[in-house]
Amino acid sequence: MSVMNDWFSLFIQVLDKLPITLFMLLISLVCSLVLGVAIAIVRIKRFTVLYQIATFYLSFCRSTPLLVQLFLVYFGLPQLLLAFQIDINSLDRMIFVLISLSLHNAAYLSEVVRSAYLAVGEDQFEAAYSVGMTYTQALWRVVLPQAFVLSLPNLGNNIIELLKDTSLAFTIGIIDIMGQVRIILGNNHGIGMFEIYVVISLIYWGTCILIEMVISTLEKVLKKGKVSLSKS
Amino acid sequence: MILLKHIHKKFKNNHVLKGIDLEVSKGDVVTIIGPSGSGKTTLLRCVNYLEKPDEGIISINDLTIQTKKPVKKDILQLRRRTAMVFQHYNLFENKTVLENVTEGLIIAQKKSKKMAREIGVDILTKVGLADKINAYPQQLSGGQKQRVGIARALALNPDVLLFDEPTSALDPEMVGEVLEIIREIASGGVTMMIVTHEIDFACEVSNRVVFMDDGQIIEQGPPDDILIHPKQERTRKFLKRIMKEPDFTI
Amino acid sequence: MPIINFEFAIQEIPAVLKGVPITLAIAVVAMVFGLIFGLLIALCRIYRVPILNRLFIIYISFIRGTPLLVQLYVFFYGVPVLLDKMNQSFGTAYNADHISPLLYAFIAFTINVSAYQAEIMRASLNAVQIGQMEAAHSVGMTTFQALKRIVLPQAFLVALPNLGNTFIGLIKATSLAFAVKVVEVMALAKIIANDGYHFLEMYLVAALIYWLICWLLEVLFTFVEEKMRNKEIKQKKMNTTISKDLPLRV
Repeated sequence: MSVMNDWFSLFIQVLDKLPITLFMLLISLVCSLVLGVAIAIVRIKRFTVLYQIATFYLSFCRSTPLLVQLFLVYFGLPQLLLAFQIDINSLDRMIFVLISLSLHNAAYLSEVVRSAYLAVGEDQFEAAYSVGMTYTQALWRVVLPQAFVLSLPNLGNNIIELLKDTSLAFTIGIIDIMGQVRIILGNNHGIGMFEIYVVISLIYWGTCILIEMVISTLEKVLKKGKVSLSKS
Repeated sequence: MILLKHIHKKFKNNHVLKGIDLEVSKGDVVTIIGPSGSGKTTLLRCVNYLEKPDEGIISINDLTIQTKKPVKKDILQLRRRTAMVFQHYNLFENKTVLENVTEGLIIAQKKSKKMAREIGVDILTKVGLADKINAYPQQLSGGQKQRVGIARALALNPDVLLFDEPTSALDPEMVGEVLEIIREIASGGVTMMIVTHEIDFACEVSNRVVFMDDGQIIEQGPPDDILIHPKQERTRKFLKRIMKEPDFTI
Repeated sequence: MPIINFEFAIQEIPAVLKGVPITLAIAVVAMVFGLIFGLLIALCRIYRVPILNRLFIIYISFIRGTPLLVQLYVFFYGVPVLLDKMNQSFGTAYNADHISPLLYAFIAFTINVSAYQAEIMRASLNAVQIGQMEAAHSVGMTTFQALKRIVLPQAFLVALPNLGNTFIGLIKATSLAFAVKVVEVMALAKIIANDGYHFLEMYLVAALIYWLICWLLEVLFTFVEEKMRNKEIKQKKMNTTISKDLPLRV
């Protein structure tokens, strides 16, 4: 049974660092949501200058690999800011990771937000206006609640992609579940890289499944009693 | 000769066909009428096995299928002896009109391309679409699409032609042109089974009308018998709802 | 001290460009084989092939629920272990060191793409109306013939925009291959950057190269899509009645 013990202790060791991964996930999710909504607003309302900047930014984020963006932020940003006499070399590595992940994810989230908003449709606004609401009231009370429910599937996918994106953080030294591979190798005898990565993949898989379950439960709860497009 | 015996079909908990027995002889034109949900389309779709009956026997001439133990080869044979005209046309969207007609001839009946083309052009001319043979379904009107559907089925020279509410999806002004073609085919001696709501038309072309309700055949017989002197109460009720009120003129 | 040493960056561009062929090779191989496998998996799922259906559901969930980087590592470290076990059991003498890292990349990326493609193709196949398959059956085609001639061509048209996105995503994903020692664009940029602390310059170069490739691909795919859509628009000029070919059940 020592084999079972090995695997069990392996799981425990990997799970030990799961909070770090989840921390990255949560913080960058919140930040990218704020930024994503802002970008979505810019794109919907088409404020000229900002719209151009937003389009440029979106194109960059979606046409270059996350890894490149991460390295640019971690290695390149300090170099850039040094010219302005700002030294950020002493900042915790985590900050760079969070900035990079947030910027990257905001690009994709803005599209999720925008398409959900458009899917609700002008009719809902018109109905709200016709009973005397202002734009803001219509937004808060009628449109956004519907847009949120509509966005849930895409939002769920986005969160899962973000979780998988965090797996790149170890390349700049973050000790999350990916980062502690060296540590585990040192502690365990006879356990090789293959076993470690199997365990890591199972943990990612499990977390993704949990996220999917949460999202679909949320969808069911929020859709209670409402007519949906598909026949049940 | 088509024989349907003890046909049962359930969709989940819904017992749609409750033991149907039906015989169709060569040259018969049988029209099946009845209210929505009576199972008439399901029955028709059993004949070419687009619906798989839960119980019963289907046979066309010497080919018999035991629905409890269907043999794949037999089902294929069954489909090669029948041809269906669909309510929503179901033309092959990625093929031209001519290709729609020749697909079955070349692939299923293994005819040569040349022969298939000849048959195709001939039949398409008969239904009045000679100038559209290279068009795609998206370019046609509903009536034209259904005429292609009929041509496609006719070209296969099947033992029986199946019509599943052929005019129900058409705009009123196009119903006439399609009915005209069906009329011509019927007068040519082809065995046909038609599901339709067009009662007057049914009277005209068929030599037998079958009334179905709630998964069973209530009564069947020559059109005049059924439509003018229906024996069963349910038949009478249905016809009353469907037929136009007589015009009283003074 | 200048912020960015543009001269250096421009001077090193050719060196980084050397990695582009590898990048493209991985993307193309993964796309082609991933598409083939994805299609086969989608068919297994749609036709609910026993055992395989469940297996593939788990497979797809696993691939989509784990990071690509982890999958790469699993192959990179797993294959030698597998070979060792094989050597022990069968007395063979395969040496994992002789396997090029590129092969690991090909396999891992193909497996990854196939899972996503399976879902895309499944959705595209479902989007082709069931009436098309029924019509094909009713003219006597086997399921295989129907798929090949009628359903798959239409499914591909539906899937085309997604295929473009997948390929662009692949190009970006190849940047991870450097973790398993494949010398593509990212690896080259890193090597040169570390050599003299020219991080900003080199990673900007890498970013620009990827950006350019993705931009070109997007232009290409949009062009192809426009051509396909123009063909459709010309064909739809005279489209009238119903567009959904769903058979109604009675």
